[in-house]
Amino acid sequence: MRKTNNVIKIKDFKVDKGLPFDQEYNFAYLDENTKKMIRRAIIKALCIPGYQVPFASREMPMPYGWGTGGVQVTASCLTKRDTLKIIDQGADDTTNAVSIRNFFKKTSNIKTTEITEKATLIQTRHRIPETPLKKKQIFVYQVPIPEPLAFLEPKVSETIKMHSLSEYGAMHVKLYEDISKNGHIETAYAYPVKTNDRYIMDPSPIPKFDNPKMNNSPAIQLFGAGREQRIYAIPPYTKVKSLDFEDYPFDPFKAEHACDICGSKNTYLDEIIVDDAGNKSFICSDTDFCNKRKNK
Amino acid sequence: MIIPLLKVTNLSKSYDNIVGCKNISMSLYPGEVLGIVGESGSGKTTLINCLSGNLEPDRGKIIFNINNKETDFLNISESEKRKFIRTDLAFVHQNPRDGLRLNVSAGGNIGEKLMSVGYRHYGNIRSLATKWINKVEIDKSRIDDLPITFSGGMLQRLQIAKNLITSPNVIFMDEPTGGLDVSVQARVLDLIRSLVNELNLTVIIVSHDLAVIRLLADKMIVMKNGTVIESGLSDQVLEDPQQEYTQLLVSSVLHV
Amino acid sequence: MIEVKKVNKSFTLFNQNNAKITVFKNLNFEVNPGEIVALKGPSGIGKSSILKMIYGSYIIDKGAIIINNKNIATLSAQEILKLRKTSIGYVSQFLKVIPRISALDVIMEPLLNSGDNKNNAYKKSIKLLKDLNIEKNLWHLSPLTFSGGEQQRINIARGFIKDLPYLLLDEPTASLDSRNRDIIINLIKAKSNRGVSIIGIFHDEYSRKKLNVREIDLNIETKH
Repeated sequence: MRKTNNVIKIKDFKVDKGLPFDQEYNFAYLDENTKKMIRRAIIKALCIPGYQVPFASREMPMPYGWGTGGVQVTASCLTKRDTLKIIDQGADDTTNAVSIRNFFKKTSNIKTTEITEKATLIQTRHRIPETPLKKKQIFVYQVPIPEPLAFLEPKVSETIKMHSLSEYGAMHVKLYEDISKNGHIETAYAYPVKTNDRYIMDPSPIPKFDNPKMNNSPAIQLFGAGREQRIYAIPPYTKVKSLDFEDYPFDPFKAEHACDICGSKNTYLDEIIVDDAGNKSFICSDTDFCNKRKNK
Repeated sequence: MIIPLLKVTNLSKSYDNIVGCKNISMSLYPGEVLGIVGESGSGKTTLINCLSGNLEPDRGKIIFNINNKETDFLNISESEKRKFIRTDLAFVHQNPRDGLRLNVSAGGNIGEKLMSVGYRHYGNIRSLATKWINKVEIDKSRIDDLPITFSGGMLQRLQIAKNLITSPNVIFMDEPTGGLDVSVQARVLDLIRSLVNELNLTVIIVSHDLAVIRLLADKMIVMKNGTVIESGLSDQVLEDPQQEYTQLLVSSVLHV
Repeated sequence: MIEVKKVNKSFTLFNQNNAKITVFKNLNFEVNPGEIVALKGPSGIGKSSILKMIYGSYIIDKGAIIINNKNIATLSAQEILKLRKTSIGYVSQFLKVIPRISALDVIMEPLLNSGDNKNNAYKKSIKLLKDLNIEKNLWHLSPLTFSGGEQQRINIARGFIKDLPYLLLDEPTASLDSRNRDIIINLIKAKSNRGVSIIGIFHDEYSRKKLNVREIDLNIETKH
């Protein structure tokens, strides 16, 4: 990985002007004791795949809902040799992605990239890249609501019990309701999964199209929920199965279109209204993947 | 010699210094309906909450014997206990809103009980739910409607269906007709009675309405100040009560 | 065979200054298979109480009532329930049913309760309704809307639908006109001919004669 980093050319980086490295901050903003605390939570989470580990989430210089959980996990994992990629809904150039990338550049002066293969640490909001993740990559999800049982059971003491005793039958109620109303499972994002045949887990609001990518992935997948103060994880090569019924198997649905920019037929697409007449265009949500195909 | 399905020995529960129930002993045999009567505060609800696992008693023994398998209810692990409650017991609340999810369709409510015991085939869940919706005399076209669109009587019937679909071995009912209009009470009572007969259910029913007990229960116990003061066949206790309090209770019933 | 041996019965009315009412002391009699026994005596002497003690609805203070070699006085609640289901039929003086349940369902219920199939129970009930001269348009209505005589016949149908070896009848022919009374008398006779032991309270001389009953005069029996 380090070797790869050495050959990254400068043109691979988008340099945001006006944000110089600020040496007054500790590396990656958080103090070392906080990082230590978070790393302990991460290690525990990796030992018990899918289990939500409570941690003392810190106030971050950004509002809740902007990825404070993911940012704390990323800050705790980051080393000076890392190359960071930040995506929001698959894109590297949307507000949330740009802000968080700037935040880390300002506080840690590390290299950043938009190229999935070249990143050693990727923080994401709501997507998994189309380019398969690799060994030794760390993939950090921003999580709004970590508890998949929350919609069924408002009491946290009760959901903890349900998890510890694997009382997951009621989880299928939501899927049942989908089928009875729509004839198929309508849930399109934050589609619940069972991790390592044990814990039911909310994969964060990624489209269910991405769910299969979590299964048996060589990368380390970490989930951070700042407001809810929970960290959970999927260690490399772990079974991740999406919930379904025997007669309604899981279906990683996507729009029946090819990308209007790169022509890709098997990637997740954003639907964009392009004019006042309501005409639509479908384009890859993963900007890096789309750019690479287009430039080929 | 038949073995009792449920045997309770010296069960006690108090809340600080206030007695909930004290030294309760009783047994229940398969297919029997046991009525518990007594005034408010006599310990009826404390007793069924202890028996159904909603409350932890202070002392005593609760032994279930189901299909020749003995379960020492107060001495099993939390996970075993919850599994037992899920598969072998059912609880029909006085207010059906306590026993149903109001934001989930009628079919989903009934189906949840099946899914919680491991059903994973939508078609099977759906057809069983439909069968039970019919059985409790709700039109099957209402299966995808939310319970908030149901009348009180329908809600109670829905709750009954939800509880019976997994064929539990003991069903607890806390004033099942208590919150209903007089006009629908009779129908719900009749439904409960015909299901009890048809499925040979074992039921413990709490009610302060002696008419409900007379109609449904084979045996009854009378509670006062947390203890059982009289027990026996329902018609015997109601027609030939041996205790002063029971006589008072029976003679207080309004005959119009 | 039903054996009533040295039975005492009294009531204590706690709410009326603990008044103790002795109904009878040292009551003895027996009923053989196929025999019809009529309890006789002025009202208040305890005729219904005897039936209720045999059925287990009243506690037996002292003595024994033996049915099927079992002493009712010492049986547990669930043993009495079982005995009722398999052996003892009881026709009360008045019909007690849930509102809104049809006459047909009321009659079928005892059969369905003991596990008979629906079809069979239906056929038997229809036959009994016809035998009892209940009009067809009433079958699917609640008997609570019926006349006294009709209710009484539904009550009898419910008590007679099963083939049980012991029958307890509390004034089965009261409130009936002569034609319907004869129908009931014939039904009781038929039961008796099949070997059923019957204890009844019959208010009228006519029924007692027709049924050829053995009378037990409680005035005499309880004055030992």
